[in-house]
Amino acid sequence: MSRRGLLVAAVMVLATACSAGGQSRPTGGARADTIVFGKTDGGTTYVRNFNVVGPATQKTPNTEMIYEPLARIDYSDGGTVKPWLAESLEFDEKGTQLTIKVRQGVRFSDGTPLTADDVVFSLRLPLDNPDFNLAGTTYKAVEKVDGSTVAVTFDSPGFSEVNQFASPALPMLPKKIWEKQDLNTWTNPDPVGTGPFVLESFAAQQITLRARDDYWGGKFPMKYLKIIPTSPDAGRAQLLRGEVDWALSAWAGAQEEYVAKDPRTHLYQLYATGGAYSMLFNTARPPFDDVHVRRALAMTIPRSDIVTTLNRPGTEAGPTGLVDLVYKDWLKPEYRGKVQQVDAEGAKRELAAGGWTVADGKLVKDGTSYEPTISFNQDFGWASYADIMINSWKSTLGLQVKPAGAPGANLYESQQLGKFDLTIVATGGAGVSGVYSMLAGRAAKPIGKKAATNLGRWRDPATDAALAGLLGTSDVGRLKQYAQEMQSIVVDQVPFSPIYNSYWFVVINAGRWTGWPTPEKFSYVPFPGLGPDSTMTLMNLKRAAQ
Amino acid sequence: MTGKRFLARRLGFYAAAVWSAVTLNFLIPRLMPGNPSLAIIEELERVSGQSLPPRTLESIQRLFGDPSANLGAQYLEYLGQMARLDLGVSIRNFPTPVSDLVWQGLPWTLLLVGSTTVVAFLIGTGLGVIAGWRAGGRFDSIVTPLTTFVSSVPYFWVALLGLWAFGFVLGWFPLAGGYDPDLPVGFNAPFALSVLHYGVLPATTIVFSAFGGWLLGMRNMTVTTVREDYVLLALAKGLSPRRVMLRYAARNAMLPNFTGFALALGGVVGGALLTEIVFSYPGIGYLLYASLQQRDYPVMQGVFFLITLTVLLANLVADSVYALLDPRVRERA
Repeated sequence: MSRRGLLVAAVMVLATACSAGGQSRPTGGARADTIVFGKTDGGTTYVRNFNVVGPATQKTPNTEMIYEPLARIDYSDGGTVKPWLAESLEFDEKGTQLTIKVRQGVRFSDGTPLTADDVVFSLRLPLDNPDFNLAGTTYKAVEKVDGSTVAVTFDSPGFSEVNQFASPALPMLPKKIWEKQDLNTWTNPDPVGTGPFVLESFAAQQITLRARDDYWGGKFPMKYLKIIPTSPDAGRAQLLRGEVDWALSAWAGAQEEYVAKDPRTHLYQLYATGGAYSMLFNTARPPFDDVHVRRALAMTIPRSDIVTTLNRPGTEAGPTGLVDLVYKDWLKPEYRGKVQQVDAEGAKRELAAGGWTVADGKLVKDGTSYEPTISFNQDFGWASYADIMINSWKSTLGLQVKPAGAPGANLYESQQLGKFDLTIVATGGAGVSGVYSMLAGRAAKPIGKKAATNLGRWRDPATDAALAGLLGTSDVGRLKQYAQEMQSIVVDQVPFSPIYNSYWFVVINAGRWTGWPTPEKFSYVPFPGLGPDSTMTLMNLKRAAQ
Repeated sequence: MTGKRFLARRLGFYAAAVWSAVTLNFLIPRLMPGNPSLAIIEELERVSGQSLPPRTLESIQRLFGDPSANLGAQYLEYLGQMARLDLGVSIRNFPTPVSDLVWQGLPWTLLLVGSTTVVAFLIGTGLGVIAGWRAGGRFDSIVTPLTTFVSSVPYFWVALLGLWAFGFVLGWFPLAGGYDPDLPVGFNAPFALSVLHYGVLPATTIVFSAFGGWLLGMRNMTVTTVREDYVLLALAKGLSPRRVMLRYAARNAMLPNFTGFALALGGVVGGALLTEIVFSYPGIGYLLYASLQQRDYPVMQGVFFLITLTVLLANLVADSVYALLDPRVRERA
């Protein structure tokens, strides 16, 4: 007993000694010109890897503050593309040639100016190195026109594909540094970019970025941005204590545990990504090649129960696949703010209209019976949501759907091969055409052949016509018309059925820095993955009066 | 059997063990469903909340391909790499070499898990001797049930509770990290002090959860040894109880515990995953965990290879030290 007491005493002494030592350092002074971002999903250490075009999932975080793309996607304005390092991006009438005017007065952090040659080099990089096409570029050629103009050519009209120039994976790089490197081995330890911050110091558990005073976009109120690794639990405690100013974390009890403690400075914000989790039907095989079956199952998904379980009330997805918060101006009026409630009677009528009956939990038509399964990613805890759906189908239609949870990688393979009945996928993309491109008939493959995007094997001439329309014009009026055609097709034909919307979960302690955007009123999202948006966020903050 | 033959046999055994472990390292990840490119695609989609453009998918699959392709050629290349101790390039952290990743985490793991393993062993074994020497006595009847209780509490719960109480409520210790990141890394007093300060909570929670196993094992072995005739004889000869307890009972009772200790030392390089997650401690456990999740074969192979080697090494050391501790092993050999 005495030995244990001794141990406890020793630990106590050490603890007090250490904490006293820690407190004697001047922490306040160092913090006053610094904003701290607590990264909760990047592991416990960072690796010095600024090879920003490589496909690593664990590069050094927040490189978006060092390297910038030509454009940004404005999530406050229907996910439209706005110029950033470009002064303008304009298509010719056919949509096959894009003229990019390079912004003047932009300098890399080593002092050299950004030129058309750098832009040509950066845009050609994925063409010359197809293995490093992380941005998924679709253009065919890049030519320099003059010192500040670059021409990009597409094989087919590229109006809707301009969003690729906003990808953080297609940054503008200094040619003279990058052209000499082997991308397969180079980790770019000392990054030089056009962005507002430079690497000040790198430790495995803290990245310190310093704000440039010669940034083309303006001055920053803070001197340093520190990125530290933390766990979701510790991160919450650090936010509460004000050790972390800014973090991303889906925090189920945030209202009571965080916001309520100090509503003025404790902010918990949800911004729609424009994406959603949806149920996808395999339309290439019965019974889901029949629209009546698809409608019946979609009508009986208890979306409100699922978002309640998720602790995210009000995030039920509408029926079109376009998220209200991002695409409000693009939605047909009748679909705006629409929440699909469970409609058991309607679903039964649909089954009857298609000549289907349910016997012994199976779907029966013309003597053939089907026992559908629903596959989902068990790594993301989807099992309980699938259960909610399965129970609903059982109680409303008497249909017994079997759950088939699989680890992510397996699931993805079976989805690509078309080996599923019902499955859960992430839908959505940049812009309306990005959302619906997964329905293009040319991307459909027979079952057993890998399809990259059209996993549900949807083939429909009306869809292809509307998509061609979306891709073939830059006229907003006509784009909206085609977008609404697509909405009607999705609502009526149900190739997939959205369940709940995806969000960026931003947690802020505004005790040191104020002036953050809010989901109610924003023109940029305080999400680090959106580089230009983070730049605007940080630039417009103000030091809080202490 | 001559000494040379004995040594040759041992070495042959270790060589065979290394080869089979290396081969299993190669095979098992590849027999698991899924592959790196699918895992990368899935992770990128999860982070962005959107589906990836088709060209991106093509580009990722082009670079990391379908590793189930020619397994034989891959195996030969892998053996060659292992022979040169070239661990390759990580996929998750492409194009960072695996050895860089391992060296970034390994010192921290050795420091934390190594020291706590030793401390837990010393505390557990020491208390176990005392408890077993007077089985049923006051010390034994309090400490042994208490230890059983303590060791049955899940580690992550202990860790979270420790973090909450000493880190958040009392504010004695930092909430995350392995050192004060504002100090320059190196062998200097302020940095070393910060390592200690940051390490107290992770280390204490590990020791708290781990010493119980050693204590129970040692106590039970001691209980059987003190009933042996030679202990009775020693006591009858009038030797001091302390000397009998330590030199007669404990020395013999410790043998199984010591084997366990040697193996535990071998397992040290595997890291302490839960500790690293809860305290955001830098180390190798999280690296291994994330590599497993994302099918980062080169990192998995590298870390497993390292673990295999250390376990075998620890085994060798245990074999040798056993001979020192227990004369009977020597004579039979």
